[in-house]
Parts: sequence; structure tokens; C-alpha cells
Amino acid sequence: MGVTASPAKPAEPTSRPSKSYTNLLRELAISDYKVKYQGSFLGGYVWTVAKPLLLFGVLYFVFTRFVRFGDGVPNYALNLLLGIVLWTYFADATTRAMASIVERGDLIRKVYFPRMIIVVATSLSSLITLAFNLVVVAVFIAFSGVGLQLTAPLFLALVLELYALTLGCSFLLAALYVRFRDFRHLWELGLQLLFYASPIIYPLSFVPSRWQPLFALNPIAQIIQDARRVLISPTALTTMDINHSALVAVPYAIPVIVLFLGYLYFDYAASQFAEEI
Amino acid sequence: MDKDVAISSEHLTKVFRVPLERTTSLRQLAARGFRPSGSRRFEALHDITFAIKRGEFFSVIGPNGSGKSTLLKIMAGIYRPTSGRVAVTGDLSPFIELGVGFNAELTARENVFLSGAILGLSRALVEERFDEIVQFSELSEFMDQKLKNYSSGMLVRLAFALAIQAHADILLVDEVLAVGDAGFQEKCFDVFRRFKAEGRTIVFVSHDMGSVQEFSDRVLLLNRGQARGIFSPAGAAVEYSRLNEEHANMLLADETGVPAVAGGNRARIVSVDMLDGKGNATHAYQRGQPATVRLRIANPERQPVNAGIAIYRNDGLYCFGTNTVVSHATVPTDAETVLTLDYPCMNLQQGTYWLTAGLFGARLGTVYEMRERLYSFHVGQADGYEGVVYLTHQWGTPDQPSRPAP
Repeated sequence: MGVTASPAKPAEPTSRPSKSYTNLLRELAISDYKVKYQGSFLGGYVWTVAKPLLLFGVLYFVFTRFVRFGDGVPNYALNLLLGIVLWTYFADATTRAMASIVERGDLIRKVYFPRMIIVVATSLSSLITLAFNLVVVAVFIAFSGVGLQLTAPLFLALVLELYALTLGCSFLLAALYVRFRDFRHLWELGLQLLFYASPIIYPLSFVPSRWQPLFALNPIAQIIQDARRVLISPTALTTMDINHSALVAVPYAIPVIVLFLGYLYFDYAASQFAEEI
Repeated sequence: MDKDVAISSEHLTKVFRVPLERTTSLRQLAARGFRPSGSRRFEALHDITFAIKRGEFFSVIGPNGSGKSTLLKIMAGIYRPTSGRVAVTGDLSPFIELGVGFNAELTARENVFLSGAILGLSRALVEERFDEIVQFSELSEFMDQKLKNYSSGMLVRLAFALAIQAHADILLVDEVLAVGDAGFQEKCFDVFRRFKAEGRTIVFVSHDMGSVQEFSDRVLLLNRGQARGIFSPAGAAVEYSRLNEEHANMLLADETGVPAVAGGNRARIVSVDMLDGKGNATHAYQRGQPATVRLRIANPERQPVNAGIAIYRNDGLYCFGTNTVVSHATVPTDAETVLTLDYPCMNLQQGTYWLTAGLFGARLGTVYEMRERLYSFHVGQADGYEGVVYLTHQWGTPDQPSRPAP
């Protein structure tokens, strides 16, 4: 029942049951999701689904009519949609989580609770969006005649991996953004580079073979290609087909490492948030 | 640690480093060669030691910038101390300001659940107490409106209704009663009384001496980050008034270049309070009841002293004044003296009043100390008489002998 604040350790109400933090986490995630689409005419659900669909529509039109990336790629549309949905989640969740601590400055300066809850809540609210979008993907898959693959349950593990990567980046970005507002622009730039460096609008097989081993180290590339394989086409090229031996593990290890480092850095920086915001 | 202590602070010091140039961009950081920038030390709290007992109503008072809020934030775990330590034993309510975490874009109903979660309440508990919260806030017709359409008074009502649901046994309260009408303030006071009766520990930060006096068991007076001492509520009012005068004198000295004369060893007021017929210090009286003003004086040089007590109504009306010279009373010339002033029948009409005390030299014209608004009290009445004071009276006609009015 003791709580102590000393230079080494901030006062932390250890006696508080973790149950109440679960409730706080849920309420913050729900309100975050509600506020995101607040005041919109069509309501949250429509926009949640419409945004990636619209992007998909434009890209699909461009890359099947003008650039003709899609020629000869089986199920190009489905692969594109799945890639966009997964990418949109990563980009959207990290961008919003980055600003989450600064935006909740009022709360942080006035109430004590583990600061991580804010970042986790934001990432969970983005996860709601992803879930809605995946329903759309499922509908497309059902109507395209591809049918349900036996490997489909593995997709859940990939979502978990993507979530770990997203959360790790979110921790790092949210803590860094408190000190350096540059990261808004830096991350925007980084996301743009990453978008083209990842096989979203093109399949991994389009990458020249001498570059493929490098591309295959990217966890985003690995997640998207693995997802395509387990959900859509069992012949999709995955990072496992490109790299061998220890290099295979790299894209799978990166999310874990990023999450671990992100957690450590956030934990280190969190006690100063109230004074720095 | 002592089991009866809820919060203890030992040699607590908090230093903020105020950067001379705030670095929020990498370019600035790179331009300095990634060396830390120069910063100014600002000592918000210096060597503060106290222990708050379980069940105590402990107030922290001080002028703006004295470190009150910083202290509260360290107790709440929001800031960490630079040196020293603060230990909290028990369940601490995490709110230190009303309406924290309210989202203007959400409805009041949604905010109740969000804010309840911030206060550490479970969803089931908020659902169970929802009606109670709505009823207390008197906002039942506005629960589905977005908070951005709320007035500040409505916000405070909703926030307070929520905050009192926190079932922690230690509550940190920061400047709550500044907003809201008189009726609502009275409701807030009722809640404080209930909390006190339930034996909860309350730490209350304010610069309003009136509400501090009415509820506090002890008062910590802060000035520029230093503890001026821990006082009884009656003593705190005097010390706080003295502190404010020092500030005013310092400003005056800054303006005129003439340093203000220090107090020295003159006679001074230690505390003023008011007792009911049973000898308890009370703030609420019924008209006609007896009341006794108790004035403590420190008089190190044992000078002859003339002590005065004046009663002002809340709006500034001077109601009654007396001193020991006009009343032909003698003040003992001890180093410490307690004087009592009995009003066998407090005949002021309904209202809120303040006591002002003065110490003068035996010869006219010497003012040792004069302190305004040291103690507030309310007078209630059950009848319909109007005006400032009740005058004994009777009605009649020239032929008919009159009967005294009740």
C-alpha cells in the first residue's frame, strides 16, 4: 500500500488495481475513435472504410489502365487492396500515436497514470479501423472467387506482428515528438519512402532480383507478402523465398526489437513528459 | 512509517530547469553541437517537510507562484522531486483539477464515462452511479449535448459531480470553488463536510482563506517555494495577511526605492477565531446566540497594548467595532496573551461576516498591527426581520400598552 516519490522513482500508486487502468485504456481508445470522425456527415464507419477504398480505387485505376503493373499478376486487385489496408493502418496509427502524448498534454500535466496507456489506446483505436477494413477485404475475397485458404488463420499472427511493429514505432515517435517537433515532418517523409520501398502497389517479384534480398529485410514487405500468401495466393513470393539462413529471421525480429526499444525509451522519457510538454 | 500518516514529505525540493532557449527542433540541437543548452534554475519548492495525518483536512495556501500546485503535482506523482522524498500511504485520487480529460467534442454522457475512467472508476460503477451524478450536477436535460456547448458553470458542476465519486481515501483538490454560483458552492461544502465525516484525508490547495479556514485542521503556508510554517486555520489567516503585506511592501519598496520597515519586536496578532456557546471554534451561528472572539497576542517587549476587533459584513459594511480602551478593559502585558471578547447575544442579521483585528499603542496613533478579514462566520435567522442588526423592539398604540416582540 505504499507509494513513494523520490528522485529515483516517481510516486506511483502501486496499490491501484490494474483493473481501473484497463477501463481507462478502453475509454480512451473508444473516445479517441469517436473523436476522430466527430462532426463528419457520413459518420465514422463510412469514412473508416471509404478512405482505403478510395485510395485503392485510384491506385487500381492507375496501375491497371495506365501503368499496367497489374498485367499478368494474378489477383492484382485483391493484393493491392490488402496491401493498402495493412499499410494504411501502419501509417495512420503511427502518425496519430506520435502526436497522442502532446495532444493529451492537459491530461498528463494534471493526472497521474501510466503514460503508455495513451499510446496504447491510440493504437487500439486504429486497430478498430483496421478491423472494419479487413471486413471489406474479406467481402472482396469472398466475391472474387479466390475462396478461403487453409492458411488463413495464420493471418492473425501477421496482424499481431504488424501491431507489435506499429506499437514499437508509436512508443518511439510519441516520446521523441514531445522533445522534437521535427518528427512530424521526418516521419511523413519516412512513411513516403517506406510506402514505395514496400511491395504495396507492386508485387515483390517485380523488384530486380539483385535488390530483392535488401527489400526482403523490410518487415512491412514481409508482413504484406506473407499476408498475400496466406489469404490470397499460395504462390505469392515471400521474404522467406528470397533470403536464406539467418537473414530470414531479420524482418520477423525487427518488430520485436522495435517494440522492446520503443518501450524502454518511452519508459525512460515518460517521467519528464509533464514538465516538457 | 507511522500508520496514522497519509502523506509525508521530507526535505522535498523541486528545481525546474527553464531552458534559456527551448530546443524543439533538431536544427537548433545540431547547431549547438548537441550540447545541452544553458538553462536557468528555478527552485519551485525548497526543503519542504510535513506529515499529513490520516483523516485530516490539510490545506496548502500561498500567493500565486508560491509552489502550491507543484507540491500537489508531486504528491499526485505527476512530477518527481529533485531531492527529498514524498511518501503516500493509501489510495490516492488522481484528480487535482476539475474536468481533467473532458473532451469538448463528446457529449456529457460520454464524458462521464471517460472522466470516470480517468478517476479510476470501473465502468460498472459509473453506470451504477450515473443517475446520482446527473442529479447532483443538475444537468439532466443536457446530458446528450456536446461539452463544447456547455457554459463554464455547467462544466464545473458536471466535473464536481464526477470528482466526488472518486472512492479514494486520499483526495487532492486544487482550487475548485472559484467557479459556480453560491448555491452550488454550498453543495460543494456539504460534500467536504461529508468527506470529513467519513474520515477521508483531503489535501486542499487554494488562495481563498475563507473556505480554507472553514474546513481545515491545519494549514501549510507557502511563500516562494518555502514553507512559512504549519498553522491552525485561525493562525494561518493572520500569517497569510502578514505575508501579503510583505509582498505589498516589497512592491512599494521597488517603486519608491525606500525599503519597508521591518516589524521588529512589536506586539503582533497570533490568531483570531470565534467560539460558540460551548467553546468550539465555529463558523455558523444563529442570530441571538452567544459568540466569543478569541484573540491571541504575542508581545515580546511587554508594551502596553490597545486591542481592537471589528466586524464587517461580506460586502464591506462596517457593522461594529470595539477596542480595549473604549471599553475600559485592561490587556495584560505578558509576552503571550489570550484575550476574549464576549457577545452574549450576536444580534447581527443573516449574512456572512468577517473579523478584523488591530493592535495599537496605548497612546493614540501608534499602530502595531492591523489585519483585515481574519475570520469569517455566517449568521442565520429563522424569522423575517430585515436589515443589518436586530434591535429590541415592541409595537403598540398610544392607548394600549405594547407587548415586546418575540
